[in-house]
Amino acid sequence: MPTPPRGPPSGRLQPIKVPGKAERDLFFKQEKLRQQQPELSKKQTTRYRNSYKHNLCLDMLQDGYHKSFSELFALIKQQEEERQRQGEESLMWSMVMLKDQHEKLDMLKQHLCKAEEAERKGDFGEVYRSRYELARYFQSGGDKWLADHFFTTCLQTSAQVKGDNGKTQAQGYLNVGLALEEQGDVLSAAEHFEAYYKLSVDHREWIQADNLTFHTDACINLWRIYSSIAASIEEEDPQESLDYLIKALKLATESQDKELQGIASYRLGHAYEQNGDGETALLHLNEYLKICTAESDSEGIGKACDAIAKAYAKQGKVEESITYLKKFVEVAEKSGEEVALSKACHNLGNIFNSLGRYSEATEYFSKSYNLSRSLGDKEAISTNRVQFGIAMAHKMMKGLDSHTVMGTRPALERLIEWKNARVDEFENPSQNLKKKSQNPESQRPHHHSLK
Amino acid sequence: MTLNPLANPKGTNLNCELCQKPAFIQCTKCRVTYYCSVEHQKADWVGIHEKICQSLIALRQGAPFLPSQEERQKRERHILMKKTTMIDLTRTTGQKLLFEGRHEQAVPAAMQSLRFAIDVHGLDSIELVPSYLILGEASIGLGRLSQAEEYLAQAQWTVLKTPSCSNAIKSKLYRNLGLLYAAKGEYDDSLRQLADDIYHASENFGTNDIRTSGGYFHMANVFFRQGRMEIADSLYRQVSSIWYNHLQKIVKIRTKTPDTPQGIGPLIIESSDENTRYIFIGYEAQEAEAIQVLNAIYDMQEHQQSRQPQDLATICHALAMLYFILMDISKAKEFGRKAVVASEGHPDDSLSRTIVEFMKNLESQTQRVI
Repeated sequence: MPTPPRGPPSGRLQPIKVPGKAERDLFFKQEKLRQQQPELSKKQTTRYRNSYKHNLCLDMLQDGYHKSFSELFALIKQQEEERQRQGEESLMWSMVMLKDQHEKLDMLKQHLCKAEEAERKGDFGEVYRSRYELARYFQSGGDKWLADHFFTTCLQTSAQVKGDNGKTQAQGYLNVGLALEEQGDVLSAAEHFEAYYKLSVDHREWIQADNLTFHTDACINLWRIYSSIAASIEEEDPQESLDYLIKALKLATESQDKELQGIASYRLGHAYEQNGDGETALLHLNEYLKICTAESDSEGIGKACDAIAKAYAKQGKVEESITYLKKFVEVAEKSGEEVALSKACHNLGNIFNSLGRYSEATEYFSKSYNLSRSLGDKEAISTNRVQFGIAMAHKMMKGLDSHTVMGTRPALERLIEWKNARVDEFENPSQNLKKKSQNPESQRPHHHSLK
Repeated sequence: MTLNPLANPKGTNLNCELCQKPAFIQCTKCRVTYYCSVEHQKADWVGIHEKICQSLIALRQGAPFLPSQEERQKRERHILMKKTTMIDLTRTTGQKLLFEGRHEQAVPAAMQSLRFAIDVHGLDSIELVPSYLILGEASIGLGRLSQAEEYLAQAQWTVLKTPSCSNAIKSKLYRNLGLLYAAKGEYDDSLRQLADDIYHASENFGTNDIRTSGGYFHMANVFFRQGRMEIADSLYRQVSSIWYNHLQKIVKIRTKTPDTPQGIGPLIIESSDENTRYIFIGYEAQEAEAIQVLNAIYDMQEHQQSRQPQDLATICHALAMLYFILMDISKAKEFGRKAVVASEGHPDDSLSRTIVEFMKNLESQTQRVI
């Protein structure tokens, strides 16, 4: 044991410094200030020490909302794992994470706790409403993954809601279906919409906010999803695609929405035509035309006429085709739809051109060319310009040929004149030119291109 | 063997292992441990000394004369290693005794572990915290609340001073603090601490781990005592479902064996048994916790009037699986039958089906054992 030191080693102790008046005042002031401050409780100190998320979780747990806690915790973890998985180069790395967005956390806490409270009491309708509100909130905030999560849990909850014959469940299916559709998972979306349809088909009295019955809404959604499935598999499996389009048409008819019915008919007709079944295609296209006429939808009529004309043209029925195209032009002119009109004229010109009726062809091509010039559509201008030129050339060909064949002097002079001035005078009466009888060969239409 | 303090050599104070008072008795087996009275010797013997008696000899004997530096270092390393294993051993023993409710016996083990931990890690190391926690919990169990508070305050201070402290330790600390406040009747503070426990445990193990379930269980007890039955029920349900899933996983691994070929069957079954036993028992303490928690919930639900039949079925099934894993077949059967009875007439078919399936498995397993 070391002994304690005895006395100061170097003679005298330094006197203790007595604090001066200024210093004492300062001490006094500090002491007074400290007394004014309330003492912090343990809870307050932890609030200061812990993260926001930590405190939020503690608050929830303290009140016994352990399910809300688990769910929130899992969501935060899920996002963090996703972030780790995507790596440092991804966009997500620099994103603000859920755990740092206090407003959203508060929102989550409030509604999750409300839902849990209701769940304990067995009021699943309330649970559904709370979760739905959260889903809507995140949907509007652009947090799709959260919105999807809550829509899915909504659906799960809705299965337990008793006493409304599945109305809530129907809504749940609808929401999940829409979310899936947005993700691009159309097949699963279709499954959910089908479930929605099944639930709503016997309850025509269920009405949505915008005065639409659930049933109609289901039809519309299913129609849309079938159409998009059909469009996506058109390449690989045309037969399957057709089946989907037929289903879509059936639903469109059921929804009693003429416009949808028309579009469905048109698509189906189009698909049939692609598959080479012109007869059935015409059936559906005519249906579409009928609907459009009834609705006086000029654009639709135009589209219908165009498609019908094409179908006829494919079957080789040129006259019918021309009739419908002329109708198309007529309608387009009436409604002042210049784009459609230009297209119609172009198509008519093409047909006349291939039929050898060049004067009509030039007429329509010039119309189309002028229209596209006034519209300023560069691509259309150039195609029409070329086609117009070709038609003109074809038209001139007959006269030119006949003149070349005649070989008389006035004829040759006229040819030379044309070479100089490029004025089409071949159509002028040319009795004086006729020395020889005309060669029957030259009267035939010429199909060689001048391109 | 009796001693007389006055007969000790000069400068040597032989103190009691438990209370640090002058010793009158020496352990005759190791001759390095001393006690003030027979009671303390007995308490130490059942608590921990029985397990560590022989190991203490090597640790407490004076260093032999070793001529080379290399040998001295080797001996030091050896001793350090031994001490570390002693820390683990004493702690596990203490924890297990706690779960079995033998708080008095847990104290010597905890003291011993604390002593070794101080020896190895120094006075203000985070490694000391688990020992403090066991001591604290034991003191709570014995009703010595002020002493418990002292231990836990020490632990909490160490944790606060160590920012890198692991979540597992924090969770344990808050759990004990929660228990302390609950014992004092300060339920709000208790809930706050238990919430902290659950939060940290979830950070470490996930929200649905058996190591998190302890926090839920204690919280449920507090709500129960406060009379907020709805919340307590919901929490008890959560605890039993966590254990249920955990046990079911283990049982599944175990009962998978029947499809092995007959010829080498027994060997494979044996090895996989070892395996699953290892998965579950990793800590003996967990086993004790499972028994304590599940039985407590079972008692609670059996005596409750307004219980839901499926809750009772779940907890009975969980208990049956637990006893099956612990190879207590008769108890497993008893609870299995209770589960079948409870699940009868319940619309949820999948639950009763799994119970029946489990019972079938149980029969076949017992036949094989016989």
